[in-house]
Amino acid sequence: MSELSLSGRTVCIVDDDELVRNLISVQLSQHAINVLDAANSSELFGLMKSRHIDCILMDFDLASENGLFVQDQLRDRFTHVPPIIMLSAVDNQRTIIKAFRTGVSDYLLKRGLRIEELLQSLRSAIERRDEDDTFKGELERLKRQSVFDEVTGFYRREAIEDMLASLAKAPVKTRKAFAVLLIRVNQFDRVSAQAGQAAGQRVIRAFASRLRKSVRNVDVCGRFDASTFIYLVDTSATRQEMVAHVERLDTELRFSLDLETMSLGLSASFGMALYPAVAAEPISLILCAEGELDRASTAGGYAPGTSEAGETCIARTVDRRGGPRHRVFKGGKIIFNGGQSVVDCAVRDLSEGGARLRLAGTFTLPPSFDLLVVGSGTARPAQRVWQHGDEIGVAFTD
Amino acid sequence: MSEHPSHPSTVVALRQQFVQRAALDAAALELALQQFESGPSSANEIESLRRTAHRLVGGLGMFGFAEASAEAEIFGELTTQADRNPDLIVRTGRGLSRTLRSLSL
Repeated sequence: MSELSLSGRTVCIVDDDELVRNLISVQLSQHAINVLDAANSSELFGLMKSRHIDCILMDFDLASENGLFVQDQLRDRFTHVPPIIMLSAVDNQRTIIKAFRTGVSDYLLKRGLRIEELLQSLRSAIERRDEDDTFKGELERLKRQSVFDEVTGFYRREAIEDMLASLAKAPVKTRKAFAVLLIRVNQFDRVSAQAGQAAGQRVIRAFASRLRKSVRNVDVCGRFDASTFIYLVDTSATRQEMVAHVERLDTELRFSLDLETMSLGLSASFGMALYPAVAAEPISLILCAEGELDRASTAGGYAPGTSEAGETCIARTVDRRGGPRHRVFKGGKIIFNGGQSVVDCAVRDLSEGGARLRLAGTFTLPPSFDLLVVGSGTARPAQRVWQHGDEIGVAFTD
Repeated sequence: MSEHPSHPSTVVALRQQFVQRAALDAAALELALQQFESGPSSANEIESLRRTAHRLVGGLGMFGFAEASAEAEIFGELTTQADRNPDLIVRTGRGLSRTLRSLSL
Protein backbone atom coordinates (compact mmCIF):
# COMPACT_ATOMS: atom_id res chain seq x y z
CA MET A 1 0.00 0.00 0.00
CA SER A 2 1.43 3.38 -0.95
CA GLU A 3 2.12 5.96 1.73
CA LEU A 4 -0.44 8.73 2.12
CA SER A 5 0.78 12.00 0.64
CA LEU A 6 0.52 14.96 2.98
CA SER A 7 0.96 17.42 0.14
CA GLY A 8 -1.92 19.89 0.11
CA ARG A 9 -3.24 18.76 3.47
CA THR A 10 -3.93 21.40 6.09
CA VAL A 11 -2.53 21.10 9.58
CA CYS A 12 -3.26 23.52 12.40
CA ILE A 13 -0.65 23.97 15.14
CA VAL A 14 -1.98 25.11 18.50
CA ASP A 15 0.81 26.18 20.85
CA ASP A 16 1.23 29.18 23.09
CA ASP A 17 4.93 29.42 22.17
CA GLU A 18 5.25 31.36 18.93
CA LEU A 19 8.76 30.10 18.22
CA VAL A 20 7.62 26.50 18.54
CA ARG A 21 4.70 27.20 16.19
CA ASN A 22 7.03 28.80 13.70
CA LEU A 23 9.53 25.94 13.88
CA ILE A 24 6.89 23.29 13.18
CA SER A 25 5.36 25.48 10.47
CA VAL A 26 8.65 25.78 8.62
CA GLN A 27 9.30 22.06 8.85
CA LEU A 28 5.82 21.07 7.66
CA SER A 29 5.76 23.68 4.89
CA GLN A 30 8.87 22.07 3.46
CA HIS A 31 6.68 19.00 2.83
CA ALA A 32 4.03 21.00 0.95
CA ILE A 33 1.65 20.91 3.91
CA ASN A 34 -0.60 23.92 4.39
CA VAL A 35 -0.02 25.17 7.89
CA LEU A 36 -2.30 27.26 10.06
CA ASP A 37 -1.49 28.20 13.60
CA ALA A 38 -3.27 29.33 16.71
CA ALA A 39 -1.98 30.47 20.10
CA ASN A 40 -5.08 29.40 22.00
CA SER A 41 -8.47 27.75 21.72
CA SER A 42 -10.38 30.83 20.65
CA GLU A 43 -8.05 31.32 17.67
CA LEU A 44 -8.44 27.63 16.87
CA PHE A 45 -12.24 27.87 16.98
CA GLY A 46 -12.08 30.83 14.60
CA LEU A 47 -10.02 28.81 12.14
CA MET A 48 -12.31 25.81 12.49
CA LYS A 49 -15.26 27.94 11.39
CA SER A 50 -13.57 29.25 8.29
CA ARG A 51 -11.08 26.62 7.14
CA HIS A 52 -10.95 22.94 6.45
CA ILE A 53 -8.37 21.36 8.74
CA ASP A 54 -7.11 17.81 8.22
CA CYS A 55 -5.31 17.49 11.53
CA ILE A 56 -4.64 19.51 14.68
CA LEU A 57 -1.25 19.47 16.42
CA MET A 58 -2.04 20.65 19.90
CA ASP A 59 0.22 21.49 22.79
CA PHE A 60 -1.00 19.55 25.78
CA ASP A 61 -0.31 22.37 28.20
CA LEU A 62 -1.38 25.67 26.73
CA ALA A 63 -0.85 28.89 28.68
CA SER A 64 -4.18 28.89 30.45
CA GLU A 65 -5.80 25.79 29.01
CA ASN A 66 -5.38 22.09 28.95
CA GLY A 67 -5.24 20.33 25.57
CA LEU A 68 -7.79 17.73 26.61
CA PHE A 69 -10.20 20.44 27.72
CA VAL A 70 -9.82 22.18 24.36
CA GLN A 71 -10.47 18.85 22.66
CA ASP A 72 -13.73 18.48 24.62
CA GLN A 73 -14.76 22.00 23.66
CA LEU A 74 -14.06 21.28 20.01
CA ARG A 75 -16.32 18.24 20.13
CA ASP A 76 -19.06 20.26 21.79
CA ARG A 77 -18.88 23.03 19.23
CA PHE A 78 -18.21 21.27 15.96
CA THR A 79 -19.75 18.22 14.36
CA HIS A 80 -16.64 17.32 12.40
CA VAL A 81 -13.49 17.57 14.51
CA PRO A 82 -10.25 16.65 12.76
CA PRO A 83 -7.92 14.14 14.38
CA ILE A 84 -5.83 15.65 17.18
CA ILE A 85 -2.19 14.88 17.88
CA MET A 86 -1.06 16.03 21.29
CA LEU A 87 2.42 17.54 21.53
CA SER A 88 3.74 17.70 25.02
CA ALA A 89 6.77 18.41 27.11
CA VAL A 90 5.34 16.11 29.75
CA ASP A 91 6.48 12.50 29.66
CA ASN A 92 3.97 11.29 32.19
CA GLN A 93 2.47 7.87 31.64
CA ARG A 94 -0.81 8.63 33.37
CA THR A 95 -1.27 11.77 31.29
CA ILE A 96 -0.47 9.89 28.10
CA ILE A 97 -2.94 7.09 28.90
CA LYS A 98 -5.61 9.65 29.78
CA ALA A 99 -5.02 11.45 26.51
CA PHE A 100 -5.40 8.28 24.46
CA ARG A 101 -8.54 7.34 26.37
CA THR A 102 -10.13 10.64 25.39
CA GLY A 103 -9.51 9.84 21.75
CA VAL A 104 -6.37 11.71 20.74
CA SER A 105 -4.84 10.26 17.64
CA ASP A 106 -1.28 10.34 18.94
CA TYR A 107 0.80 11.77 21.76
CA LEU A 108 4.25 13.01 20.84
CA LEU A 109 6.95 14.30 23.15
CA LYS A 110 8.46 17.58 22.12
CA ARG A 111 11.87 16.62 23.40
CA GLY A 112 13.88 15.03 20.64
CA LEU A 113 10.94 15.09 18.23
CA ARG A 114 12.13 14.31 14.71
CA ILE A 115 10.27 15.66 11.71
CA GLU A 116 9.97 12.14 10.23
CA GLU A 117 8.22 10.99 13.38
CA LEU A 118 5.83 13.94 13.22
CA LEU A 119 5.08 13.35 9.53
CA GLN A 120 4.39 9.66 10.12
CA SER A 121 2.04 10.51 12.95
CA LEU A 122 0.21 13.01 10.73
CA ARG A 123 -0.06 10.44 7.93
CA SER A 124 -1.51 7.81 10.26
CA ALA A 125 -3.99 10.22 11.83
CA ILE A 126 -5.24 11.61 8.51
CA GLU A 127 -5.34 8.19 6.87
CA ARG A 128 -7.42 6.75 9.71
CA ARG A 129 -9.77 9.71 9.56
CA ASP A 130 -10.13 9.38 5.78
CA GLU A 131 -11.03 5.72 6.23
CA ASP A 132 -13.51 6.58 8.97
CA ASP A 133 -15.08 9.29 6.82
CA THR A 134 -15.36 6.93 3.87
CA PHE A 135 -16.96 4.31 6.08
CA LYS A 136 -19.33 6.82 7.66
CA GLY A 137 -20.20 8.24 4.24
CA GLU A 138 -20.99 4.80 2.88
CA LEU A 139 -23.03 3.99 5.98
CA GLU A 140 -24.94 7.23 5.63
CA ARG A 141 -25.51 6.58 1.93
CA LEU A 142 -26.86 3.12 2.65
CA LYS A 143 -29.00 4.48 5.45
CA ARG A 144 -30.40 7.19 3.24
CA GLN A 145 -30.85 4.76 0.41
CA SER A 146 -32.98 2.56 2.60
CA VAL A 147 -35.31 5.42 3.48
CA PHE A 148 -35.06 7.81 0.57
CA ASP A 149 -35.36 7.31 -3.14
CA GLU A 150 -32.10 8.22 -4.84
CA VAL A 151 -33.68 9.77 -7.94
CA THR A 152 -36.25 12.02 -6.29
CA GLY A 153 -35.00 12.37 -2.72
CA PHE A 154 -38.53 11.50 -1.54
CA TYR A 155 -39.25 8.70 0.87
CA ARG A 156 -39.23 5.23 -0.54
CA ARG A 157 -42.49 3.32 -0.67
CA GLU A 158 -41.46 1.08 2.22
CA ALA A 159 -40.83 4.09 4.44
CA ILE A 160 -44.29 5.49 3.66
CA GLU A 161 -45.85 2.12 4.34
CA ASP A 162 -44.03 2.06 7.67
CA MET A 163 -45.52 5.47 8.45
CA LEU A 164 -48.97 4.20 7.60
CA ALA A 165 -48.38 1.17 9.77
CA SER A 166 -47.45 3.50 12.63
CA LEU A 167 -50.65 5.42 12.08
CA ALA A 168 -52.51 2.14 12.19
CA LYS A 169 -51.01 1.38 15.58
CA ALA A 170 -52.40 4.59 17.06
CA PRO A 171 -55.54 4.06 19.15
CA VAL A 172 -58.60 4.32 16.90
CA LYS A 173 -60.08 7.08 19.04
CA THR A 174 -57.09 9.33 18.58
CA ARG A 175 -56.63 8.75 14.86
CA LYS A 176 -57.38 11.76 12.74
CA ALA A 177 -58.65 11.70 9.21
CA PHE A 178 -55.92 11.34 6.64
CA ALA A 179 -55.58 10.67 2.96
CA VAL A 180 -53.41 8.69 0.61
CA LEU A 181 -52.96 10.22 -2.80
CA LEU A 182 -51.22 8.38 -5.62
CA ILE A 183 -49.91 10.47 -8.50
CA ARG A 184 -48.82 8.71 -11.66
CA VAL A 185 -46.87 10.30 -14.51
CA ASN A 186 -48.94 9.75 -17.62
CA GLN A 187 -47.32 7.94 -20.52
CA PHE A 188 -44.16 7.32 -18.53
CA ASP A 189 -43.57 3.87 -20.02
CA ARG A 190 -43.80 5.29 -23.51
CA VAL A 191 -41.33 8.09 -22.69
CA SER A 192 -38.85 5.65 -21.18
CA ALA A 193 -39.18 3.28 -24.11
CA GLN A 194 -38.72 6.00 -26.71
CA ALA A 195 -36.22 8.33 -25.07
CA GLY A 196 -34.42 5.95 -22.75
CA GLN A 197 -34.06 5.43 -19.05
CA ALA A 198 -32.06 8.61 -18.48
CA ALA A 199 -34.86 10.65 -20.03
CA GLY A 200 -37.33 8.78 -17.86
CA GLN A 201 -35.35 9.77 -14.78
CA ARG A 202 -35.34 13.39 -15.90
CA VAL A 203 -39.10 13.27 -16.19
CA ILE A 204 -39.40 11.79 -12.70
CA ARG A 205 -37.02 14.39 -11.28
CA ALA A 206 -38.95 17.19 -12.95
CA PHE A 207 -42.20 15.88 -11.49
CA ALA A 208 -40.61 15.46 -8.08
CA SER A 209 -39.32 19.00 -8.18
CA ARG A 210 -42.76 20.41 -8.97
CA LEU A 211 -44.43 18.17 -6.47
CA ARG A 212 -41.99 19.21 -3.75
CA LYS A 213 -43.02 22.84 -4.27
CA SER A 214 -46.68 21.93 -4.10
CA VAL A 215 -46.81 19.79 -0.98
CA ARG A 216 -47.25 21.25 2.44
CA ASN A 217 -44.47 20.94 5.00
CA VAL A 218 -46.64 18.81 7.23
CA ASP A 219 -47.37 16.27 4.50
CA VAL A 220 -45.14 13.44 3.37
CA CYS A 221 -44.22 12.50 -0.16
CA GLY A 222 -42.71 9.30 -1.41
CA ARG A 223 -41.97 7.36 -4.55
CA PHE A 224 -44.45 4.54 -4.92
CA ASP A 225 -43.09 2.86 -8.03
CA ALA A 226 -41.19 3.78 -11.19
CA SER A 227 -43.79 6.28 -12.39
CA THR A 228 -45.93 6.90 -9.32
CA PHE A 229 -45.61 9.13 -6.28
CA ILE A 230 -47.42 8.61 -3.03
CA TYR A 231 -48.56 11.57 -1.02
CA LEU A 232 -49.67 11.11 2.56
CA VAL A 233 -51.80 13.89 4.02
CA ASP A 234 -52.12 13.13 7.69
CA THR A 235 -53.60 16.27 9.16
CA SER A 236 -57.37 16.18 9.20
CA ALA A 237 -57.80 15.70 5.47
CA THR A 238 -61.37 16.27 4.37
CA ARG A 239 -62.76 15.21 1.04
CA GLN A 240 -63.49 18.78 0.06
CA GLU A 241 -59.97 19.93 0.86
CA MET A 242 -58.42 16.99 -0.95
CA VAL A 243 -60.49 17.49 -4.08
CA ALA A 244 -59.35 21.11 -4.15
CA HIS A 245 -55.80 19.97 -3.56
CA VAL A 246 -55.94 17.45 -6.38
CA GLU A 247 -57.34 20.13 -8.68
CA ARG A 248 -54.39 22.35 -7.86
CA LEU A 249 -51.86 19.55 -8.26
CA ASP A 250 -53.41 18.62 -11.59
CA THR A 251 -52.73 22.13 -12.85
CA GLU A 252 -49.24 22.36 -11.39
CA LEU A 253 -48.21 18.99 -12.74
CA ARG A 254 -49.09 19.85 -16.32
CA PHE A 255 -45.93 21.18 -17.93
CA SER A 256 -43.53 20.81 -20.81
CA LEU A 257 -40.10 19.30 -20.52
CA ASP A 258 -37.49 19.72 -23.23
CA LEU A 259 -35.22 16.76 -23.70
CA GLU A 260 -32.37 16.68 -26.20
CA THR A 261 -34.39 14.89 -28.82
CA MET A 262 -37.95 15.81 -28.03
CA SER A 263 -40.23 18.08 -26.13
CA LEU A 264 -42.68 16.37 -23.84
CA GLY A 265 -46.04 17.54 -22.63
CA LEU A 266 -46.40 15.97 -19.22
CA SER A 267 -49.36 15.42 -16.95
CA ALA A 268 -50.43 13.14 -14.13
CA SER A 269 -53.28 10.91 -13.05
CA PHE A 270 -54.50 10.77 -9.49
CA GLY A 271 -56.03 8.18 -7.23
CA MET A 272 -57.00 8.99 -3.68
CA ALA A 273 -58.53 7.37 -0.65
CA LEU A 274 -59.47 8.88 2.68
CA TYR A 275 -59.28 7.34 6.11
CA PRO A 276 -61.42 6.32 7.96
CA ALA A 277 -64.31 5.88 5.53
CA VAL A 278 -62.68 3.54 3.02
CA ALA A 279 -60.68 1.11 5.09
CA ALA A 280 -60.43 0.17 8.71
CA GLU A 281 -56.67 -0.23 8.44
CA PRO A 282 -54.65 2.65 7.02
CA ILE A 283 -52.48 0.40 4.88
CA SER A 284 -55.59 -0.74 2.98
CA LEU A 285 -56.04 2.79 1.74
CA ILE A 286 -53.16 2.30 -0.64
CA LEU A 287 -54.99 -0.54 -2.33
CA CYS A 288 -58.07 1.58 -2.74
CA ALA A 289 -56.10 4.53 -4.05
CA GLU A 290 -54.22 2.22 -6.41
CA GLY A 291 -57.44 0.89 -7.88
CA GLU A 292 -58.67 4.40 -8.46
CA LEU A 293 -55.38 5.42 -9.96
CA ASP A 294 -55.37 2.50 -12.37
CA ARG A 295 -58.78 3.56 -13.56
CA ALA A 296 -57.72 7.15 -13.95
CA SER A 297 -54.46 6.28 -15.71
CA THR A 298 -56.23 4.11 -18.21
CA ALA A 299 -58.90 6.64 -18.99
CA GLY A 300 -56.85 9.83 -18.74
CA GLY A 301 -58.46 13.22 -18.03
CA TYR A 302 -60.31 14.07 -14.89
CA ALA A 303 -63.57 13.73 -13.01
CA PRO A 304 -64.00 13.15 -9.32
CA GLY A 305 -65.66 9.82 -8.79
CA THR A 306 -68.14 8.85 -6.17
CA SER A 307 -68.36 5.78 -4.09
CA GLU A 308 -70.67 4.09 -1.74
CA ALA A 309 -68.01 4.13 0.92
CA GLY A 310 -68.80 7.67 1.87
CA GLU A 311 -67.41 9.24 -1.31
CA THR A 312 -63.91 8.75 -0.10
CA CYS A 313 -62.25 7.43 -3.22
CA ILE A 314 -61.43 9.87 -5.93
CA ALA A 315 -59.99 9.20 -9.30
CA ARG A 316 -59.04 11.83 -11.73
CA THR A 317 -60.34 10.42 -14.96
CA VAL A 318 -62.69 11.04 -17.84
CA ASP A 319 -66.14 10.05 -16.75
CA ARG A 320 -67.46 7.97 -19.58
CA ARG A 321 -70.40 6.76 -17.63
CA GLY A 322 -73.89 7.80 -18.69
CA GLY A 323 -75.22 7.68 -15.15
CA PRO A 324 -74.06 7.45 -11.56
CA ARG A 325 -71.77 4.58 -10.64
CA HIS A 326 -72.65 2.22 -7.81
CA ARG A 327 -69.92 0.40 -6.04
CA VAL A 328 -70.90 -3.24 -5.88
CA PHE A 329 -69.30 -6.56 -5.31
CA LYS A 330 -71.27 -9.10 -7.27
CA GLY A 331 -70.45 -12.18 -9.22
CA GLY A 332 -70.55 -11.96 -12.98
CA LYS A 333 -70.17 -14.11 -16.05
CA ILE A 334 -68.68 -12.98 -19.34
CA ILE A 335 -70.27 -15.01 -22.11
CA PHE A 336 -68.93 -15.10 -25.67
CA ASN A 337 -68.28 -17.42 -28.58
CA GLY A 338 -72.02 -18.06 -28.94
CA GLY A 339 -72.31 -19.14 -25.33
CA GLN A 340 -69.51 -21.70 -25.70
CA SER A 341 -67.09 -19.69 -23.53
CA VAL A 342 -67.78 -18.32 -20.07
CA VAL A 343 -65.34 -16.41 -17.87
CA ASP A 344 -66.19 -15.67 -14.25
CA CYS A 345 -65.61 -12.18 -12.94
CA ALA A 346 -66.39 -9.85 -10.08
CA VAL A 347 -68.49 -6.80 -10.85
CA ARG A 348 -67.00 -3.91 -8.85
CA ASP A 349 -68.73 -0.82 -10.18
CA LEU A 350 -72.04 -0.78 -11.94
CA SER A 351 -73.85 2.06 -13.64
CA GLU A 352 -76.63 2.29 -16.16
CA GLY A 353 -74.18 2.49 -19.04
CA GLY A 354 -71.38 0.16 -17.99
CA ALA A 355 -69.37 -1.66 -15.35
CA ARG A 356 -65.92 -2.29 -13.98
CA LEU A 357 -65.05 -5.95 -13.81
CA ARG A 358 -62.24 -7.81 -12.13
CA LEU A 359 -61.18 -11.11 -13.60
CA ALA A 360 -59.61 -14.02 -11.76
CA GLY A 361 -56.58 -13.64 -14.00
CA THR A 362 -55.43 -11.80 -17.07
CA PHE A 363 -57.47 -12.99 -20.04
CA THR A 364 -57.68 -11.72 -23.57
CA LEU A 365 -61.35 -11.13 -24.08
CA PRO A 366 -63.11 -10.40 -27.36
CA PRO A 367 -64.17 -6.80 -27.95
CA SER A 368 -67.81 -7.65 -27.33
CA PHE A 369 -69.59 -10.18 -25.23
CA ASP A 370 -72.58 -10.61 -22.96
CA LEU A 371 -72.30 -9.81 -19.28
CA LEU A 372 -74.47 -11.60 -16.80
CA VAL A 373 -74.57 -9.99 -13.39
CA VAL A 374 -75.52 -12.71 -10.96
CA GLY A 375 -78.94 -12.02 -9.51
CA SER A 376 -80.02 -9.65 -12.27
CA GLY A 377 -81.55 -12.43 -14.28
CA THR A 378 -80.50 -11.07 -17.68
CA ALA A 379 -77.31 -11.00 -19.72
CA ARG A 380 -76.62 -7.62 -21.34
CA PRO A 381 -74.52 -7.12 -24.46
CA ALA A 382 -71.36 -5.24 -23.60
CA GLN A 383 -68.29 -3.81 -25.28
CA ARG A 384 -64.79 -3.73 -23.77
CA VAL A 385 -63.74 -0.09 -23.36
CA TRP A 386 -60.49 -0.53 -21.49
CA GLN A 387 -58.43 -3.24 -19.86
CA HIS A 388 -55.66 -2.87 -17.30
CA GLY A 389 -54.28 -6.18 -16.10
CA ASP A 390 -57.10 -8.12 -14.56
CA GLU A 391 -59.49 -5.17 -14.58
CA ILE A 392 -61.67 -4.19 -17.50
CA GLY A 393 -64.18 -1.45 -18.11
CA VAL A 394 -67.21 -2.27 -20.22
CA ALA A 395 -70.01 -0.25 -21.79
CA PHE A 396 -73.43 -1.81 -22.26
CA THR A 397 -74.55 -1.67 -25.86
CA ASP A 398 -78.24 -2.47 -25.48
CA MET B 1 -3.03 33.33 14.41
CA SER B 2 -1.39 33.18 11.03
CA GLU B 3 -1.00 31.15 7.91
CA HIS B 4 2.23 29.80 6.53
CA PRO B 5 1.98 29.11 2.81
CA SER B 6 5.70 29.56 2.39
CA HIS B 7 7.49 30.55 5.54
CA PRO B 8 10.50 32.79 4.97
CA SER B 9 12.24 31.80 8.18
CA THR B 10 14.61 28.92 8.30
CA VAL B 11 15.16 26.51 11.13
CA VAL B 12 18.58 28.05 11.79
CA ALA B 13 17.14 31.54 12.06
CA LEU B 14 14.45 30.32 14.41
CA ARG B 15 17.04 28.53 16.54
CA GLN B 16 18.99 31.76 16.74
CA GLN B 17 15.88 33.54 17.94
CA PHE B 18 15.31 30.82 20.48
CA VAL B 19 18.84 31.13 21.89
CA GLN B 20 18.40 34.89 22.19
CA ARG B 21 15.12 34.41 23.96
CA ALA B 22 16.69 31.81 26.27
CA ALA B 23 19.12 34.49 27.53
CA LEU B 24 16.14 36.71 28.36
CA ASP B 25 14.41 33.74 30.01
CA ALA B 26 17.55 33.21 32.11
CA ALA B 27 17.46 36.81 33.32
CA ALA B 28 13.75 36.56 34.14
CA LEU B 29 14.36 33.30 35.94
CA GLU B 30 17.16 34.85 38.03
CA LEU B 31 14.86 37.66 39.06
CA ALA B 32 12.07 35.26 39.99
CA LEU B 33 14.50 33.14 42.03
CA GLN B 34 15.71 36.21 43.95
CA GLN B 35 12.12 37.02 44.88
CA PHE B 36 11.54 33.40 45.80
CA GLU B 37 14.64 33.47 48.07
CA SER B 38 13.76 36.73 49.76
CA GLY B 39 10.48 35.62 51.29
CA PRO B 40 7.38 33.48 51.06
CA SER B 41 6.14 33.38 47.48
CA SER B 42 2.55 33.65 46.40
CA ALA B 43 0.83 30.82 44.54
CA ASN B 44 0.89 32.97 41.43
CA GLU B 45 4.66 33.40 41.60
CA ILE B 46 5.15 29.66 41.99
CA GLU B 47 2.76 29.00 39.10
CA SER B 48 4.68 31.50 37.00
CA LEU B 49 7.90 29.59 37.67
CA ARG B 50 6.20 26.33 36.79
CA ARG B 51 4.88 27.74 33.53
CA THR B 52 8.29 29.13 32.58
CA ALA B 53 9.81 25.74 33.27
CA HIS B 54 7.16 23.98 31.22
CA ARG B 55 7.61 26.33 28.27
CA LEU B 56 11.35 25.80 28.43
CA VAL B 57 11.00 22.01 28.52
CA GLY B 58 8.98 22.05 25.30
CA GLY B 59 10.95 24.75 23.52
CA LEU B 60 14.38 23.38 24.43
CA GLY B 61 13.25 19.92 23.38
CA MET B 62 11.87 21.09 20.05
CA PHE B 63 14.98 23.14 19.23
CA GLY B 64 17.31 20.24 19.92
CA PHE B 65 18.62 21.10 23.39
CA ALA B 66 17.68 17.79 24.98
CA GLU B 67 19.89 18.02 28.10
CA ALA B 68 18.75 21.53 28.88
CA SER B 69 15.17 20.38 28.38
CA ALA B 70 15.67 17.59 30.92
CA GLU B 71 17.14 20.13 33.36
CA ALA B 72 14.12 22.37 32.90
CA GLU B 73 11.83 19.42 33.49
CA ILE B 74 13.46 18.66 36.85
CA PHE B 75 13.14 22.32 37.81
CA GLY B 76 9.48 22.25 36.81
CA GLU B 77 8.87 19.15 38.91
CA LEU B 78 10.44 20.83 41.95
CA THR B 79 8.19 23.87 41.60
CA THR B 80 5.18 21.62 42.12
CA GLN B 81 6.50 20.95 45.64
CA ALA B 82 7.90 24.40 46.36
CA ASP B 83 7.30 24.20 50.13
CA ARG B 84 9.41 21.10 50.58
CA ASN B 85 12.69 22.05 48.91
CA PRO B 86 13.04 25.80 48.49
CA ASP B 87 16.83 25.64 48.54
CA LEU B 88 16.87 22.92 45.93
CA ILE B 89 14.54 24.94 43.72
CA VAL B 90 16.89 27.90 43.91
CA ARG B 91 19.99 25.82 43.20
CA THR B 92 18.37 23.97 40.31
CA GLY B 93 16.91 27.18 38.95
CA ARG B 94 20.28 28.91 39.00
CA GLY B 95 21.80 25.93 37.25
CA LEU B 96 19.10 26.10 34.58
CA SER B 97 19.69 29.81 34.21
CA ARG B 98 23.40 29.21 33.56
CA THR B 99 22.52 26.53 31.02
CA LEU B 100 20.18 28.90 29.22
CA ARG B 101 22.87 31.58 29.01
CA SER B 102 25.36 29.09 27.65
CA LEU B 103 23.17 27.84 24.82
CA SER B 104 24.75 28.32 21.44
CA LEU B 105 23.99 27.39 17.87
